[in-house]
Order: sequence, then structure tokens, then C-alpha cells
Amino acid sequence: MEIALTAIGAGLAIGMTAIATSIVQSKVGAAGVGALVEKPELMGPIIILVAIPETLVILGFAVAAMILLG
Amino acid sequence: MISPMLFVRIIGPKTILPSTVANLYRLQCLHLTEVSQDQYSSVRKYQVPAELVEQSSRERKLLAEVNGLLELFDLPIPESRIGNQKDYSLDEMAESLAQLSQQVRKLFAHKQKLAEEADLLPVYARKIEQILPYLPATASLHGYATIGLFVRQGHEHVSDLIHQEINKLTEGEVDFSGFNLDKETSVVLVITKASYIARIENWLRDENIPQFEWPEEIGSEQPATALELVRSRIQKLPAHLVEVDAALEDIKQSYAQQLLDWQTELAHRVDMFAIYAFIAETGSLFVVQGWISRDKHDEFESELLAGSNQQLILEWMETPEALQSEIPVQMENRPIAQPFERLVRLYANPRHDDIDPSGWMALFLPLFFGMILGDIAYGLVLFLATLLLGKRMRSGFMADIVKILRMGSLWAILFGFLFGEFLGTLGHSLGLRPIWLDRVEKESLMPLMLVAIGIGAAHMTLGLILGVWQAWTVKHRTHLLERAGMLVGLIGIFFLVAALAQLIPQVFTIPAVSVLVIGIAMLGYSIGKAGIIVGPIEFIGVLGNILSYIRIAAVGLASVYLAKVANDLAGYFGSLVVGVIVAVLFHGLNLVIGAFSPSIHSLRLMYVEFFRKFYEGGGKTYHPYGLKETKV
Repeated sequence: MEIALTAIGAGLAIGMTAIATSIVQSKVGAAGVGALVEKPELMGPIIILVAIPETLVILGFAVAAMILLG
Repeated sequence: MISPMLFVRIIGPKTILPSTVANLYRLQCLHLTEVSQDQYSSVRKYQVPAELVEQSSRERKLLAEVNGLLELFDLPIPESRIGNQKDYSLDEMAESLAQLSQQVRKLFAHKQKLAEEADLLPVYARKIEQILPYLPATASLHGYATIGLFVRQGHEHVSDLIHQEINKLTEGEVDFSGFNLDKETSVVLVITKASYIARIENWLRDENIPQFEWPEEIGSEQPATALELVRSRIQKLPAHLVEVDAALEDIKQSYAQQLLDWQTELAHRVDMFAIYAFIAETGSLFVVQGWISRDKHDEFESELLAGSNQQLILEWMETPEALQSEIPVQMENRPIAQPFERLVRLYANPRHDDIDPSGWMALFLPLFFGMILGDIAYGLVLFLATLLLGKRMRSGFMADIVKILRMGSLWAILFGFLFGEFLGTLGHSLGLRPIWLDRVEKESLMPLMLVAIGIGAAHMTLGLILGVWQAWTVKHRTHLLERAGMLVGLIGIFFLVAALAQLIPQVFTIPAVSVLVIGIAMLGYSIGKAGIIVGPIEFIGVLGNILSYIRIAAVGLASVYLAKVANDLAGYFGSLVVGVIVAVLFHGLNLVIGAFSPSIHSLRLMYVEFFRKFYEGGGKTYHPYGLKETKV
């Protein structure tokens, strides 16, 4: 039972953060592509904006790893 | 590194302006900027002589003409101005070009006409063949002509009206015939004396009744003769086309080099004229100014003075305050760092007072890439693939990407040995043992994450040291406080963690906390009144940046587990052949992901985490006069 709950906890930690990251990235990415059509020189800042939400899932991974490793 | 620039103002008598312009163009090292009229009250924008403007306009037109001819002949327009200028007379060039252009356009027009005929004549032939059986005997009599009219089926009353009206117009001297062209359209044939034709056609035009159109050449012929003419013309068309093509090919062979020479020469002249927008003048002097790379100083000065018989004055000076933001930037790096310059520019063009991060990128980006991928086989395949691609791509964005991937693949091979990975876990079966740690083992996860965080901490610290240095050199107090605050706070955190982990004596705990608080206070002070709240939040952001490096471990693990899945799945199939096919497919997919994903994540670590600690960007690219490419 404890093992199952640990696994579910780890799964939720990485799964929920992955969903959150994907939702944010889809919105930022869509707006970014729109902006790029108008101003191609914004490539750098847009890559940054799209990349920022990734930290969420990385933190989720760290938490999941900690849960699994006890 | 960013090449230092020197600001120079060149002043000389207007009599030597043309030769000075030619010399500046030849030297190709002055990045021009407009002379502000505020700098000298008597200085005004240079009034370009009317004849020079007219000459330039002619040159532009001729260049457009030459480019047009090159395109007609399917010859590539040269992108660079390779080759020396030649002393062509503009009038001679214009005259020769006009003759050639007329000749070529005539041939192309003829070719187009022949192509149109090739499409239309068979259609006409079919129409005449359809009409012929319905023509009465009068149609072939001398002095008679035929008109064909289209009438939609189901509108017979219109047909009756046409009959009545044409009967009136021809006083009854007319024969009618007709047939159904298709399901919707009938053709009414009107055969009458040629003298009535104009009258009938006028009436048809007034009533908007469509006529059966004949080609101009056979318009006045009898249908039977017309059909013979059309058939004969169709037979002769291919031979005519071959003749025209041969004539065009002949001209292309004779004039290709001449056209390319003219193109180069005219493009040089059009480019050269661009300088006049930057020149200022007084009564008898001209002034032109801009920047040159410091290492070109001696050559530039001696060549320019020698070319003007020492009549020029070159004022070397500090860039005026108003032009500080205009200082152009040229990156000069060792060959190994050059492919990364494009990636730096993709983020933002460096400013003249920025630290060029290309060298740091050359060190860290392939290292992160290799650490994420970390597989001997994938590294080798990628290395060989980039070697092959590198032979095809010599320059450009993709060539740079290939070079960067090649460097990354070498690191991937090295980390492959450290992790003991060859096609993921297959290496273990072949007896390969990790030199450092086995990423698949559960116990390796924490050390791997800690190493990634350690790399992040070191990378962040380096970024902040560079940031402090950059702020110090440009004397930007706010940036200096902000970055120094982050750096001091980070040092406090490092000591605190070390003390808590009992790596250093516990006595360091309180000093570490004090340093941390001082760092956050400096950071908050740099922000201003809101710093008391925003300062700590910003500092947490820095810690978040460090934790972001865990992706090196996370993405790497995803890659090795996908490789493990490929190996395990291949093992489930009893057949060796099927197993090999499945393994090849999965490893191929993993390799593609492995080339793409680590690149993106490594780039993100450079752009988001590293660059933002010291790199400002927003500068202008050094674009010396004489290298500008102009296409008209």
C-alpha cells in the first residue's frame, strides 16, 4: 500500500507539473509564433518566454525523484 | 571577443571626394554614420550634384535590366561583389545593353507567341473541322464570308430574332446554318456577302452577342482554306521553336560572361553611391564619419592619406555621447567559437560594451549536450553524420549547427564512457562498465541530480562574476549592485549548504546566513523601494535557475530509458530479424530525439539561465561600407 501511494505521489508530482507546463507553453508558444511573423528579430526573447515554464516540470521531476528515493 | 571600434571623422576638399569615396569603398572597413548638423553649425547635408544623381539612376536602371536578362537566361545573380571593378563607359554599356535587350526580348516575345499558337491552333483546327460539314455551297464562293455566333440552347427565340435582324441588315442576301457545339451551346453560321460583314459585326457588338473568334492570320480566309493554313502552321511550329531556342542559346553563350561582368560592375557602382546619404559639407569641404575596427587603423589611415596626396584630415576621437548607442559590433573569435556567434545573435546582437559569450557557449553548450546524450554509439553516429553533412554545408546557419552538433557528439562519446552506455543498456550486455556512474541504477539518480545542480551553481556563479565585471567596466551602478548582491547571496547559500551538510564546520552557519542576508539586501537596494519584497523573490529566482539544471539529469534519463525500452522490446520478439528491425527503428527515433532535445535544453540553459546574468544585447552589427549587397 505504501509503495503504491509513493508511486502515485511521484506520478502526480511529475504528471501535474507536465500538464501545467504544456498548457502554459502552448499559450506562450502560439502567441510567440504570431509575434515572430511580425518581428523575426524577437526570436531570442520568445525562446526564453517559451522555455521559462519548463522549470515547473523540472521541479516536478526533482520532487518525484525525492518521493521515490525516500 | 568583441572587436574594439575607433571613431573617425574624415575631412577633405570636395575636389577629392570622388577619389576618397572610391578608396573608402575599396578599403571596406568604415561603418558609416550620418554627420549630425548640430556638431558643426556650418555643416549641412551634402547636396549630391544633379549629374551624379542622374548617373546613379541610370546605373540602377541598367542593373535592373541586366538582372532581368540574367533571370531570363536562368543565370544566377551573384550575391557577392567578387572581382575588381572594370572601367566600363556607362554610355557604351547602355548602348550594348539596349541592343542586346531588344534582340533578346524580341526572341522571347516570338517564343511566347509560338507557345500560345501551339496551345490555340489545335483548338481552332477542331472548331473549323466541326463547322465545315454545316457550311452551304455559298460559303466557298468568292466575295462571301462566314460569321459564327454562339447561342445558348433553350433560347431559340433569340436565334429567331438574330435571323430576322440579320435578314434586314443584308436585305435577305444571307444563308443560315448551324449545329450544336455541346449540350449547352449552339453555333449559328451566317454566310453572306463580304460587304455586309462589317455591318453585321457592328450590330453584334452593340447587342453583346459573342462571335466565333478566328486567329488574326486566317481571319479573312474561307473556312476550308483556313483549316489548311492552321494545319500547316501546326506542323511548322516545333521547327520554329527549335530555331528560336537555338538563337537564344547562342546569345546566352556569347553574352553570359559579359552580363555577369556588367552585373558586378553596376552593383559596385550602385553600392558605392550609398555613401552620399552619409556625407556632409561646408562651402569647400566634405565630412564623412564612422567606425573602423581598431586593428585596421594603421592600414586605413596610410592608404587613405596616400590616396589623397595627404589632403585629407583624419580625426580619431572618442565616440560622441549621442552616438554611443550606435557603435557597431563585430565579433572576432577563434574558429572553434565562430559557429556560436550566430546563436548569440539569434538571442540578441551584442552591444559594444557587452562581454561576447560565444567562447563560453563553445565550452558549455556542447558539454551540456554531451552530458545529456551520454552514449558512445549515439555520439559516434552523430559524429559521422555531422562529418558527412559538414562536407556538403560549408557556410550558413545549418553549417554552424552541424559544427556545434559535432562538438556535442564528441562530449557525448566521452560521457558515454563515463556512464558506460552504448545504445543505452546494450553496452552492459557487451561487458561495458561505467567509469563514473550507471544512470539506469536507482542509486545513481540522486548523485546525478546533485552533479547537475553543482554544474548549475558553478555556471550561475560564473555568469554572475561576468555580470559584475561587465557592470563594473561600463560603470552601471544598479546592475553592479544587483549582480553583486546575487553573487554574495549565492556564496552565502553555498556556505550554508556546506555547513548544514557538515562538509565544513558548523561555526560557518551564522556567517553564511549573514552573507546571504547582505546579498539579498544589496539585491533589494538595487531594485529600489519595492526591493524589500522583490529582492528576496528575485533571489529565489536565482535558486530556481540553479535547480533548472536538473534537466541535464532528467532529459538524459529520458534518453537512456528510451534506449533501454528499445533493447528490451527487441528482446521480446523471438525472431532475430524482427528484433533487429524494432531495435533499429527505436534507436533511430531516440537518436533523432537525442540530437534535438539536448540541443534545445542546452540552449535554454545558456539563454535563460546564463546570458541573463551578464549579457545585455541590442547592439548594431558592424557593416562596413563596400561590403553592402544591393539587389535592384
